[in-house]
Amino acid sequence: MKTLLSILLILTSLSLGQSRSSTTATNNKQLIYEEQIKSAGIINLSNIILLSDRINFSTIDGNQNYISVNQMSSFFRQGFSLFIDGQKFENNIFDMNDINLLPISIEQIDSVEIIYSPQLYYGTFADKGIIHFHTKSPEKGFSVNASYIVANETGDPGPYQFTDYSTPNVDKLNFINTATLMSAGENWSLKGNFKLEENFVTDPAIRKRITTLSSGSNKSHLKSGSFQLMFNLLNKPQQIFVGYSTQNTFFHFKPYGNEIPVNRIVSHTGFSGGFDLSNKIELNYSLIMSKNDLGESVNNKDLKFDFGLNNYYGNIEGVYNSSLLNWSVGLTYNEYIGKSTTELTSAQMLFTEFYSSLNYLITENFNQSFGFMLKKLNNDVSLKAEFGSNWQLNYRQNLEFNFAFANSMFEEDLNFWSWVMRGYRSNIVELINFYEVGKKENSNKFSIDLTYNYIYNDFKFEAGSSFRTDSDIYSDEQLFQYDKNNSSLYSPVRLNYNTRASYLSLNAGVEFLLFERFKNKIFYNFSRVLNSTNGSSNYSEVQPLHNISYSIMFKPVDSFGIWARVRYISSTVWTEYKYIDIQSAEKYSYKIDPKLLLDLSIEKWFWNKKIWTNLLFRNIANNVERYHPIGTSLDLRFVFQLHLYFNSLFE
Amino acid sequence: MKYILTILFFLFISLESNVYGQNNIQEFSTITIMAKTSYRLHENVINSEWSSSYGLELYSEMPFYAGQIGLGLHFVPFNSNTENPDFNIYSFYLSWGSSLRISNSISFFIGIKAGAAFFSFASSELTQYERLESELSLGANSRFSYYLNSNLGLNLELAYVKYFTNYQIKQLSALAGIEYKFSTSKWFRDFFN
Repeated sequence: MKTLLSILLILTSLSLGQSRSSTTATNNKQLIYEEQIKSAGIINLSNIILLSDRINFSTIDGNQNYISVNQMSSFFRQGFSLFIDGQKFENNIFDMNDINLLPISIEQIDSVEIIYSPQLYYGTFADKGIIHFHTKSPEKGFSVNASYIVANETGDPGPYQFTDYSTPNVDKLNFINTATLMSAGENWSLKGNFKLEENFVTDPAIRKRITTLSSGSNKSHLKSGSFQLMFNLLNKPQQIFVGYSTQNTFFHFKPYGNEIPVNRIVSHTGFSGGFDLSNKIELNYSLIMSKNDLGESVNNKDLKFDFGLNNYYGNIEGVYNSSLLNWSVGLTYNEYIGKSTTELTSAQMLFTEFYSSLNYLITENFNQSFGFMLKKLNNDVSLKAEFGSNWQLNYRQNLEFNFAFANSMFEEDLNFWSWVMRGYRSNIVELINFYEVGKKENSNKFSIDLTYNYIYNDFKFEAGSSFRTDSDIYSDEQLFQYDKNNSSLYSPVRLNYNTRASYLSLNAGVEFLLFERFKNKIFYNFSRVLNSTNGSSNYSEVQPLHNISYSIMFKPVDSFGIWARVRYISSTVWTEYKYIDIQSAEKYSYKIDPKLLLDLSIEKWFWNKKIWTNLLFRNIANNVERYHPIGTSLDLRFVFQLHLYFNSLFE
Repeated sequence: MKYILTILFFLFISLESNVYGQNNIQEFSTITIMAKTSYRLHENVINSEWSSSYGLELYSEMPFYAGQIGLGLHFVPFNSNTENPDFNIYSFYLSWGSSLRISNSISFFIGIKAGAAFFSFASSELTQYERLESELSLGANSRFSYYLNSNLGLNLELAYVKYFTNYQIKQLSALAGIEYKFSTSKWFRDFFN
């Protein structure tokens, strides 16, 4: 380790680095544009993962998703990084990272960048993947955008509710209202957004479990607002972003086994930007304060987390740019304060980070990048590094290679257990019976990604493979027992410190135009756990082996389009729930059958692109669509969207 | 059978578009308004509990980039035979299809439709929230139109609609009505483009 550190420091002293804007030589990412989002009838931020070729996800309530951006199991932590316009957002708490809590709305999005390889990105070493939302820049003058979205699931009883054929009512799934006010001048822009989302938990699979604790309605309610000011100062853009989200929801807390009503509060105040010190050297900064609370919501057992996290983040980065290389050096102050009425032995986790990266051209067609980060907490230090190569074989073909290593401390993902070990207690913690196995050590994660691209006019082919191997990661292993009387689950937790797992993912995709304006895309993804030990074997089959999708987008004119997609997702097995079939009299099953899903979306613009409407049918064939053993079974759903875009009203 | 009907439908669309060249009609250039009365032909489980026969439909249609697009509201009242409450179905739907001119005065239309059906229950015992329930409806229809002159016509229609309640309600109806066609103004066409 010492030798490796010495080499890294020598490399740094030799002026190797990379700029904030071009973070790595490799490009293992997917860009999703507004046109695709609209064509596919995406209704909210978390829904965007449905357009990702490689994200695996599972969901219990159909709205909050457990996702894996770096192509591992969705159960190996929700620590993926979230960004909006270059600022990092902290939504993750106790392993739930709800994207919908971001204080922006769907009609604001210009593009979404999903990065699958571990890498240094905006001063963060993101080893679990990155989702970066880029919002639209307002047009000059004053603009008003708004949306009204309603989603409904089929299967209501209708008039049969008065007969012997009566079945439980299935309410509408989502109701979303958003409004954005914008203004822009020569060197500045201003955006204000308000979002209201309601999600209804009515599926029989979870309704009873939720009403066991919830004394109120079965409705999850999200309100968010944000304010964004961008201006140019000394020829560089500066940004102030203030956002606030509050959500009454049902928080599925796996160690407890069930959903607990909570009142989530997430706030963000960020300043970021940069200055040119010379024509080759720039200085970037980012100052962020955020609050992430698991607040109390009234419930029948008076269960409350009594926990929140405050984050104070400061980053400064110097970048040297030349025609052959760019080099960056940065320093980050990242302080988390745990808030609880119980006395914590240490409420503060202060991470200081030093990083440097270099992106350099070896030949005109071949460039490489190298970056590392040293992260310090108290007396512990961890090291993360990445190395990437990008070879433009000719004007049609491109080959990329990325290697990353991440040594991480147990506390780095701010997990529930590290706070429990610091004295955090609540009446929920008291209900959890856990025991530790093994020795707590820093985890080591290696990953290799290889990507090949071929582009010829409107034809695009890509193929790639990812290999990940982790050692000494922690896993909370459970074996759930089901109580039929109140539909609840219980399991002690075996906290394994020395879990190992290796994953392999292979993918290939092709995009082409069949006729003019008739886009086709076929993508295949294969993911497999190669080996797993000490607790991770429970998760070895929770990720589908095969995932195939074929989508078409037909736009005969600019103002009208049809999008359709058929997806096949292979079966999964959830060993932690292996007794649930018998104990629930087959209401649930720990084996989830393969899914064949067909979606159809129709969009139409009116009034010179001032009004946009969309009609979406998901799971048209009404097949069983279930992602989690104790989760909802999604039937045929239909969604109506109306968006208004009144731009440049008063110039 | 479903697949054969689907294939026949798309063959028909293809005929209309390519052989007869009727797709030269400018999109959104005319609007046809129809008022129809419907008669339910098909029996359902709910017939043992409620009786219904006649309904009303308002419908408007205009040329689209391919075929015709339409917007309709179908109202069907159901009267209870037991102590259950009476209810009405208000079905708002969008339709798309294609028409073929058989002669100067007769045309044949075939289309598909999708919409939201609202079940409105007449019961003071139910809460305001419980009195209205909505559900997806999907269906298909075919229609003969006989034109008395260039604007005015009579039509006969057969429509099949499936409401996606947990136990699905399937409804086969015969409809008859009048239709009136007129040209749209420029602002109207601009709005839709």
